[in-house]
Amino acid sequence: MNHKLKSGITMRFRTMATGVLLGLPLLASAAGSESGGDSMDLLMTGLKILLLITVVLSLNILRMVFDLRESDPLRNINFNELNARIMVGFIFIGLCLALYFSFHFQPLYLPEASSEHGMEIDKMFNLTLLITSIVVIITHLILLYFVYKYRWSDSRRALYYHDNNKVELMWTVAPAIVLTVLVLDGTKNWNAIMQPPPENAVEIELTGKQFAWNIRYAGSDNQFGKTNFRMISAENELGFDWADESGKDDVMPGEIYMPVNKPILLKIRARDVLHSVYLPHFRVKMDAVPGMPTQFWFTPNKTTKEMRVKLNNENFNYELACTEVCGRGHFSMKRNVVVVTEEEYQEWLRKQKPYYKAPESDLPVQVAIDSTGTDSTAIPTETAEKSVSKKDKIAVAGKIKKQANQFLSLK
Amino acid sequence: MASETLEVKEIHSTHPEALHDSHEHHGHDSHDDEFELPEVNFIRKYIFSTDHKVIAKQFLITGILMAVVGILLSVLFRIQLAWPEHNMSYLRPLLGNWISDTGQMDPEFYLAMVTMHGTIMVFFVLTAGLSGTFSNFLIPLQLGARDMASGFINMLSYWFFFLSTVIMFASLFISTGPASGGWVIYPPLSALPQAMSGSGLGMTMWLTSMALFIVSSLLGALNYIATVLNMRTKGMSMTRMPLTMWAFFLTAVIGTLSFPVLFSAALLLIFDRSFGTSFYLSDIYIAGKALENSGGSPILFQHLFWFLGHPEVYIVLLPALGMTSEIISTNSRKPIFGYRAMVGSLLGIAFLSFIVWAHHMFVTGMNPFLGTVFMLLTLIIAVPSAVKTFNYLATLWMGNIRFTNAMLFSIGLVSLFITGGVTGIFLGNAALDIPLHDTYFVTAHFHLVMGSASAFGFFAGVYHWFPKMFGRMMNERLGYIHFWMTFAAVYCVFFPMHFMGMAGVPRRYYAASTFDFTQGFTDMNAFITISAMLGFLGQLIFLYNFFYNIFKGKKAPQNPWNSNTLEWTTPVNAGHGNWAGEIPAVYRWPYDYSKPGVNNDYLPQHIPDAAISKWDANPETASLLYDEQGNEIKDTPAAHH
Ligand code: HEM
Ligand SMILES: [Cu+2]
Ligand SMILES: [Cu+2]
Repeated sequence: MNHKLKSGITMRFRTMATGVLLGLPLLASAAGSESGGDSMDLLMTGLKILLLITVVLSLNILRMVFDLRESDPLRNINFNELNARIMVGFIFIGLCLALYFSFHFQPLYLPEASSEHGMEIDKMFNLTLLITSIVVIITHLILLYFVYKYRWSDSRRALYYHDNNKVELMWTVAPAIVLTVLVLDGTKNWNAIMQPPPENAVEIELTGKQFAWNIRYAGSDNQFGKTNFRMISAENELGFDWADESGKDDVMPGEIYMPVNKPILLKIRARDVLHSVYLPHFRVKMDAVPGMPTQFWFTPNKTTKEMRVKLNNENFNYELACTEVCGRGHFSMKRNVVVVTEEEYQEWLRKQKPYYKAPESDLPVQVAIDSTGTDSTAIPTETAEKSVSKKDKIAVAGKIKKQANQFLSLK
Repeated sequence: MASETLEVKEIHSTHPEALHDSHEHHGHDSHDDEFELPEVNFIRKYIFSTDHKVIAKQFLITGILMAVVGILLSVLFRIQLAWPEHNMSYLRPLLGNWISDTGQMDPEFYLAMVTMHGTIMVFFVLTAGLSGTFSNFLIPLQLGARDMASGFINMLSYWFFFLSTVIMFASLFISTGPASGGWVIYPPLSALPQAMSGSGLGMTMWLTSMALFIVSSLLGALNYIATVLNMRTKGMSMTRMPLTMWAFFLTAVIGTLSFPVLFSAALLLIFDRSFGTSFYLSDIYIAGKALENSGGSPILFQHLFWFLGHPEVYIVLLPALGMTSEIISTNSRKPIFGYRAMVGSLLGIAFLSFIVWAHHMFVTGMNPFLGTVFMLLTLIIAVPSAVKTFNYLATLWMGNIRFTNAMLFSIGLVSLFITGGVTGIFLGNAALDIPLHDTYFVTAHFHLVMGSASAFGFFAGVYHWFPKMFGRMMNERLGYIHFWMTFAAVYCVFFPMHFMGMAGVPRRYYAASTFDFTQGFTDMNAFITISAMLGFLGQLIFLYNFFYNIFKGKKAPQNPWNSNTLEWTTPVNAGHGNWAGEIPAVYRWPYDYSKPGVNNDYLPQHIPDAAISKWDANPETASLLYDEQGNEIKDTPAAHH
C-alpha cells in the first residue's frame, strides 16, 4: 500500500479512536449523575451496547495506532518524560482531591459521638488521622519529587549507594516511637471501655436472630427471667422458662429507650447465627454469638432531642444495625434507639406491658408480638418499615425496600 | 538440550550433542531462535508438563481467567449498589431466578457474589495466580537451577489447583447458589443450610475446593522451600539471592505453616455440617427448631480461620513486594537500598504475621486483655512495613529512572502500599476498631493495601518477565494506557470508601436504604461503580496486550531490561532445564547497577571481577560463562551470546 494513503487511514482511525475513548467516560458519567429510573435504564442499555462496540473497535484501533512499524505517529514522543510528568500531575492532583473531598463529605460522616467513651475514640481517631495524613502526604510528595527529578537522562548515571545504617535506624525508630504513642493511647482507651460495668448500669438485653433484634428489659424486679433456647417458639421468642417468676415482668419493646448520662449495659446474645450489635452514633459494636453471651457498656451523653437540635434535623434518630453478615436480611436489621432524660425513661418504662401472657387469656400474646414485631415468620424489615414510613422524608427507601421484602418473603 | 523426559539428575549432566543443537545465529531479529527440542509429545510438554516454566504459565493463565470471573462478579454487585432500582431483567437468561421478574437482584445472590468475589480474588488470583506463577517461574531461573526440587510434585500442585478452580467455578452455577457467607465463611451461618441457601451444596463445594487448594498450595510451597534451600547455583549464597527469592521463600514458609490450620478449620466445619459434631455450634434455634448441638464455639472457628487469614494477606503481598524490589532497582539503575534491612523486614513481617491474627476479632467478645496484646503486636508489624517503604523511596533517590510498564506498576504499588497501609494503624488500634470494624473503612484498607497493591505487583511481574516467559515483548504503549487507567480507577474506587467508613456504612449490605446513617452515598456509589467499570475496561486492554503478544509480539532480546539476575542468561526461549550448557556460577549480589568503574550501568551476577572489563566492552555478545580467573569457559557454547 502507498505510504501516504496508509498514514491517512491511520489518522482517520486515530481520530475515531480518540472520539470513542473520550466519549465513553462522558457517557458513563452522564449515566451516573442521572438518578431517575427510566432515562437511566435507557442510558444504561445504550451504554452497554456502546461498551461492546467500543471494546471491539478500540482494541483493533489501538493496535493499529500503536503497532505501526513504518510510520509510527507517536515516534517523536518521549514516553519516559511523558510518564514522569503524568505521575507528577497524578500524585499532586490526587492529593488535592483527596484533601478536598475529605472535607467536602464531612456532613455525611457520623456526628460527634453521643457517648462518653465515643468522644475519646473520636479524639484518637482524629489524632491518628492527622499523623497518617501527614505521612501519606509527605511520602507522596517525596515520591513525586524523586520520580520527576530522577527520571531517565542519558547524561546522568545513578549513584551507586546502597546502605546507610544510621538512616535505616532512624526510619525504624521514628515510626516505632509514633506507634508506641498510639498504642499507649489505644490501650488506655481500650481498657477503659472494656472495664467491668458499674453496678448501677441499666441493663438491656439484645438478642439477634434472622433478621431482627429482640429487645428485653428486666422489668420491675430488675432481674431478667431465665431462658432456654429449647423453649423458643413463635409465642416465646426468647425461650422464657415460665417456671422462673422473675421473667414474668420482663418487657420486650420494639424500640430501645435509654436514659441519658446513665451507664447502659448491653447484654448481647444470638439465637441462630452470628450477628453484631452496632450503634454507630455511640461508637458501640459487639458481636452476638450463639452460645456465648457478650456485653458492652457505655454512657450515652446526648438525648435524641438534643441531637435533633444540634444537627438541625428533626427527623434524626439513633439506630441499631447489624454488622456481621447473617443472611439475606442482614442489611435490614434495624431498631430505633431513643435517648431520653431519666424521668422520660421511667415514664416510658412504666407504660411497657410484660411479655408474659397469663395462660387464661391469649390477648397479651398478641400485644407482645405486635409490639416486638418479631413473630418468627414475620418479614424482617417490618418494624423498620413502620418507623421509617412515619418519616415520609425518606421516600427513596420505600420502593427498594418493598422489592427487597418481596425477596425476603420468597423463601 | 536435555531431553524432556529426563530426571533432574540427568539434566544436570551436560549433553554435548544436545548443546550443539542449541548453538545458533546471532542477531535479535532472527526468526528461528527456538531450541531444537527433542520430540516430546504435546501433552507432556504443555499439559502434564513438569517444567516449572510451563507450570508457571498454567498458573498464570488460570489465574488471569479467574481474575476475569472475579472482577465481573464485582462489577455485577457494584451495579446493584450504585443503582438499586435498576432493572436487571436482561440478566435473567444468565442468572435465572436470582433476578426477580421485576428485575431485582436477590439479596442472597448479592451475598453470594461478594463471597465468591472475595474467595476468587484472594485465593485463586492473588495467591495461586500471583505466587504460584512467579514462584514457579522465577525460583529456578533466578537461583540457577534446572527445575524445581520435584517437577512431578510441582505438576501435581498445578493440577490440584486446577481441580479446585473447576469446583469453585462450577459452584457458581448450581441452583442453590454458591457459598454466600462472606469469604471468611463464619459458622454457624456457613454450617447451617437452613440459614441461607448458599450454605447448602454451595458451601460443600467451597470446602471441597478449598481443601484441594490447600493441598495444591502446600505441594507448591514445600517444593519452593526445598528448591531455595538446596538448589542454588555455585556462589549463590542466601545473602546473594535477589529479594524476589527471599520474598517467595518466606511466602512459602508462611504458607506451609498456616494453610494446614485452615485445613483443620475446614475439616471441623465439614464435620459439623455433615456428621453432627458441635465444634462450632451451640444453643441454636433456627427455622423453627432447636438444634441438638451444644458446647461448640463459633469463636474457635474465627481463631483458626484468622490464624491462616492474616498470614494469608502477607502470602498475597510478599511476592508482590519482592518483585517490586527487583523491578524498582533494575529500572532505577541503582542498587536496592538497604538489602539487609529489606531481608530483615521481610523476616520480621513473616514472623509477626503469625501473632497478630486476633486483630480481626477485637469485637467478637474475646477476652479484652487479648485485645490489648494483639493491638501491641499488630502495631509492631507496621514498623517493618514502614522500613520497606522508606527503602523503596531511597532506592529511587539519585537513580536514573526508566518508566517501563513494570516500573510504573511498581511505583503504583509503593503509593498504594502507603495509602492502604496507614489505615491499618487505625484498625490495629482496638479502641478505634470498635466503630470501624466491618465497615467500608476496612474494605478500603484491604483493597488498597492487599488487593490493589498485590495486583499491581502482579502486573509489574507480568510486564517485566513476559519476555522471559514467551520470548516476545508486550506493547509498551498499551501498557501505559493500562497502567494509568488502572491506577486512576483503583484510587477512584477505593479511596471514597474511607468516607463511607467514616459515616459508619457497614460492609456486605445489599442496600443502604434501611438506615438513616447510611443514606447520602447514592452519587458516590454510582461514581465508584463507574470507576470500577472503566477500570475493568482498562483490564481488557491488558488482556489484549497479553494474549495477542504471546503469539504476535516482537521477538524479545536476550536481556531486555539490562538486568543483573540469572534468568536473563538463559536462552530467549529456554527449554526444560533452562540453560543449554553449564549453569552459570554467581560471583556477586544481584544489585550491581551503575557500579563505579564499570562502563555499563549494570553488571550481571555471573560476571567475576576478573572478567568485568572483558564483559564490559561488549555485554551483548560477551560469552556467558567465565571462571573465577575471568577466563571464558570455551567448551560450553551455552546460550548464544
Ligand atoms: C500496616 C500494617 C497493617 C495493620 C496494622 C493492619 C491492620 C488490620 C486490622 C486491624 C484489620 C481488621 C479490621 C477489621 O476487620 O476491623 C485489618 C484487616 C485487613 N487487612 Fe490489614 N493491616 C495492615 C496491613 C495489611 C496488609 C499489608 C495487608 C495485605 C497485604 C492487609 C490486609 C488486610 C485484609 C485483607 C483485611 C480484611 C479482612 C476481612 O475482614 O475481610 N493489611 N488490617
Ligand atoms: Cu447481620
Ligand atoms: Cu490481619
